[in-house]
Amino acid sequence: MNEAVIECENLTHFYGKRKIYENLNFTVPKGRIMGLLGKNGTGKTTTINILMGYLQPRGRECRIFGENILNMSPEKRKRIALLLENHVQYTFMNIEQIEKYYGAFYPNWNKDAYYELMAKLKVAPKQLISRMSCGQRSQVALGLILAQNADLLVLDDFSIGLDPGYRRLFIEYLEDYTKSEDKTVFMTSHIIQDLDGLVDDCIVMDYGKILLQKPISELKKNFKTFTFEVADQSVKLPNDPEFYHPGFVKGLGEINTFKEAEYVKKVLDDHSITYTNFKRKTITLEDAFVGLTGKY
Amino acid sequence: MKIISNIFYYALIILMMAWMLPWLYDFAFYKPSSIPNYSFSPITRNFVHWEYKDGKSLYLDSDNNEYTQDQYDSLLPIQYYFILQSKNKALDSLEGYPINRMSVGMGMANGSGNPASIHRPSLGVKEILESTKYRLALHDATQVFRCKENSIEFINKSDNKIDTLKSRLFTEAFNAVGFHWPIVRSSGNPTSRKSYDFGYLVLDSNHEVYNMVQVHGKPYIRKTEVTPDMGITLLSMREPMNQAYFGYAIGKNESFYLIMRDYSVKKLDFKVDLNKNNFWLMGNMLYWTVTVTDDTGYDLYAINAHSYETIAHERHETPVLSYTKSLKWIFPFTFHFQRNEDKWVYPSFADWSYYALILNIILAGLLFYVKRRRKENQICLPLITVFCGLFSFIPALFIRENS
Amino acid sequence: MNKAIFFKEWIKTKRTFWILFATMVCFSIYIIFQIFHTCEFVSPTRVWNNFIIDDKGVYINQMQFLPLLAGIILAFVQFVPEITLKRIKLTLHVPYPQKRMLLMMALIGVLELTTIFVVSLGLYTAYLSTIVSHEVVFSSFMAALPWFVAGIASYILVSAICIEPTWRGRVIGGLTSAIFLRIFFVSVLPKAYSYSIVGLIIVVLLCFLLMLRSMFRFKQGLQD
Repeated sequence: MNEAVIECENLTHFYGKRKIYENLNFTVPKGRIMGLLGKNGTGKTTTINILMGYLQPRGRECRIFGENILNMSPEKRKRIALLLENHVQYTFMNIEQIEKYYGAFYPNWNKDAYYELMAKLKVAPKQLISRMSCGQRSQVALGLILAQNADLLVLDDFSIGLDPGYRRLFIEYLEDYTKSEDKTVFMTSHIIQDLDGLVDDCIVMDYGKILLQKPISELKKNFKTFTFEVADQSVKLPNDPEFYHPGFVKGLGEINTFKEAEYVKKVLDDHSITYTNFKRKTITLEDAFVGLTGKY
Repeated sequence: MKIISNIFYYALIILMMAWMLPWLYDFAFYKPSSIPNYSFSPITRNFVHWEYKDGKSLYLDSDNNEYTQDQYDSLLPIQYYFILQSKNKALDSLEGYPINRMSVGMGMANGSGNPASIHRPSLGVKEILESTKYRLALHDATQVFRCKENSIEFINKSDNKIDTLKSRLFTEAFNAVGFHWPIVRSSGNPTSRKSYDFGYLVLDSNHEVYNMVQVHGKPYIRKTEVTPDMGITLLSMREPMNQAYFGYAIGKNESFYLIMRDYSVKKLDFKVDLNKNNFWLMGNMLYWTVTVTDDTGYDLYAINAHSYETIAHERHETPVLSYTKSLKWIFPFTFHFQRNEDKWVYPSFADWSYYALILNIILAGLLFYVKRRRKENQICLPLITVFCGLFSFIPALFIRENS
Repeated sequence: MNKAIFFKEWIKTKRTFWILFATMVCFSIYIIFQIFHTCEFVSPTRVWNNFIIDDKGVYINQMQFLPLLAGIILAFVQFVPEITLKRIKLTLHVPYPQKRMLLMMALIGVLELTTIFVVSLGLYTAYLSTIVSHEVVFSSFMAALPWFVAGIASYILVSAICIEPTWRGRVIGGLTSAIFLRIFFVSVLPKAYSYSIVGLIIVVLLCFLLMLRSMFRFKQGLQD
C-alpha cells in the first residue's frame, strides 16, 4: 500500500451557517492521480484552500506528507506545486522573469522543461504575461508546474477558460509528466471528459457530503444507466436507496445505479410500474457524473 | 506572533480611540469659558470688566453694578482716553499726573506668559540688533548669536560665517563682569519696529541677570542687582515706551520681579508659576492690572505703576462646566499628544477617573453578551473593556475575528 | 532567494519608484531654487529671517504631505497586484518562510521609500547648510522628519490594509491608520517632536506586526 500523501480526517467546514461538509475523510496515496468532482458550490475549491493552508477548517485538519499545511516547513512546501484557478500568475512579469523568480526557490528546478513548453507559445520573450491570452497564460502556469519537479501537484480547475487545443496540450503534458515521474496529483475540474483517462481515482462531492470515492475504472465499469418506456409518464419512479436521481429524460424513464438490471426490474415490478424497452445505456464519465449528482 | 500582532492591533486601536473620542466629545460639547476683560478703575477704585452674555455686552464692576458703555468708558479714563477726547469728556489729570496723548502713550505696559511660552522648542540662535539708530531708526539684525559652553558666538547672516572678532569681544566682556557660563536663558525683542533697543537680558548658571547690548558693534554688558538667592529662572525683556524698566523676571517661590532701568530689582507682591499659570498684564501710566489664572480660578491684582505696590486683589473661581463634570463618568482616562502647557508633541495620559468604572462594567457585560451571541467566545475584550471602557467597546463591536 | 524576492518586487515597483523619486527630488530642487532666488534677488539675510520669524517649518512645509502620498502610492502599487485574484497565495506558497517573505517584501518597499526620502531631504539640507547655521538646518530637518516618518508609516499601514481579507477589517484599519497618521501632523513647529520621534519610529516599525496579522487572517480564510 502506497504511503498517503494527502490525508484528511473528519474535515468539517461552514461558511457562516451554511454547511459545506461535515466529517469528510479521504486519502490520496502516493503516485495516484485524484480527481475531485462536484457541482458548483459543493466545496471543491474550499477543499483545495484548506489543503493549501488558505482556509482554516472548523473541525479537524488536513495533512500533506504527514505535516499540517498550516505549520508546514518551507522544505516540505518545495515538494508541492500549486496551480490556482484561472491559472493566476504574476502578470507584471514576462516569461523569463517569472522563470528566474521561481527558479531561485526550487533546488530541482528544471529550466529545460519550462522553456520547451514556452517555445510553443509564440510570444516575444519580453512580453508581459498580462498581455497573453488565457491559453498562453495556462501554458506558462503549466510550464512552471512542470519545472518545479514537485512530488505533489495540486491543480484547481486547470481547464477553466481553455479552448480544446490548449486543454488537450495541458492534459498530454500532464499525463506524460505524472506517469513517468511517479508524481501524485490532486485536481479539480468541471470538464469531466478531460479527467477520463487522466485520473486514477475520483471523489464525487455533493452538497454537504461525499457521494463516493473510488477508482475511475471502477466507476465507469460499475455505474449503469438504465432506460425504459412507460405508458404514463406522470407516474413517480421509486426512490430506492440504490438509485441516483431517477426521472424521465426525453420521454424515457432513466435510473442510475451501481446495481444490476435484475435489481432495477424487481424494484419497478414491486412498485407496479409497467415498462417496456428496458435497456442499459452506454454512458461516458460525464454521464455518470450527472447521473450521480443530478441535473439542476 | 499571532497573539503579539493581535495585542499590538488592539492596543493601537484603543489608544487611538482614547485620543479621538475625548477630542470629539470636547468638540461637540465645548463651551468657551473665557475670563472677562478686567481693568482697575482709578475712579471706582475697584476692578471693572465687560463681558458678552446672553447676546449683549455687560459692563460691570466688582460690586456687580452695571454701567452703560459711555459710563464704562469714563471709569477707565486713561484706557479710553482717545474715545473720551472725541466726546470732549477726557480728563486733564488724575491723581496729580497730567493725562495727555504723550503720557498715555508712554505709560502703556503689557506682558503675558503661559506654560507653553516657556516649554517650547527654540531655534538655537537669536538675532541681535545694533542698538544705535542710523537715520533715526533701528535696522534689522544682520547677525545672530548662539550660546556655547563657555562663550558666545556671532554668525553673519550674509555669508553664514562666524564673526570671530565680535565673538571674542563679547565673550571677554562677559568674563570681565564675572559671568558664569553657560548662558541659561536670554530674552530680547530683536525687531527694528520699536523706538529703542535694550538688547538682551541674560541669565547665567549662577542665577544672575545681565544686560547685553550691542553698541556700534561693540559689547555693552552690565550686571543687574539680581542676586543668586532670588533663584531667577525666567526672564522677559519688555522695553516699555517710558523706559522705566527692562522687563520682568520670575524666580524662586514664583516671585515676580521687575528689572529696573538702573539695574535695580523690584519685587512685586503677586506670584506667578509659569509652569502652571497663565498670566497677563495690561497697564497704563497709573495702574497695572495683572491676571493670574490657575486650575480653579484666577486672581486679579492692581499694581501702582509708580510705586509698584499692590493696591487691590480679588480672587474669582471659575465654575466647572457641566460637560467637564460628565467627562469623568464617561472616560476612564484620556490620551494626548499635545497639552496646553507646552508646545511639545509626546504621548501622555490624563484625567484618570474611577467613576467611569461603572459605565465600563456595564459596557463589558454588554460586549460579553454580544460576543456570545455571535459565537465569538472572547473573554479578553470584555475584560479589557472593564479598564478601557468605550475605547475598547466601540471597536470590539465592529471587529470580527471569525468568518 | 532574497535576491529573487527583491527582483520580483523591483519589477513591480520600479516605474513607481522612479516617478516618486523624480517627483520628490524635483520638489526639493524647486525649494532649493526658491531659497537660491531669495538669496540672489534679495539677500541671504531674508532666508535667515524667514526661518527665525516663521516657526512653521518654512520652505520645507511645501513637501509636508508628499511623503505620505508616496507611501500610500507605493503600498498600493506593491500590494494590490498581490491581492487581486488572491495572487498572494502564490507568494505565500513558495518554499520560503511566510512571515519572512512578507516582511522582506515590506522591507524592500521601506528601503525604496527611505532612499527617496534621504535623497530629497538630503539635497535640501545640504544646500540649506551653505546659507544658514547648523541649528537652523537641524530645526528645519526636525520639522520635516515627522512627515517622512509618516510616509513610511502610511506605506506599512496601507500594505496591511491591502492584505486584510475582509472589507470590514479594511475599513477599521483605514480609520485607525488615518487617526494614527494624524499624530505626525498635529504640530508644524520645528523640533516639537524632539522627545517623541524615536518612540514614534519604534511604533511605526512595530506596525509590521499589522501586516503579519492581516496575513494570518488571510490564511484563516476570513471573508465578509
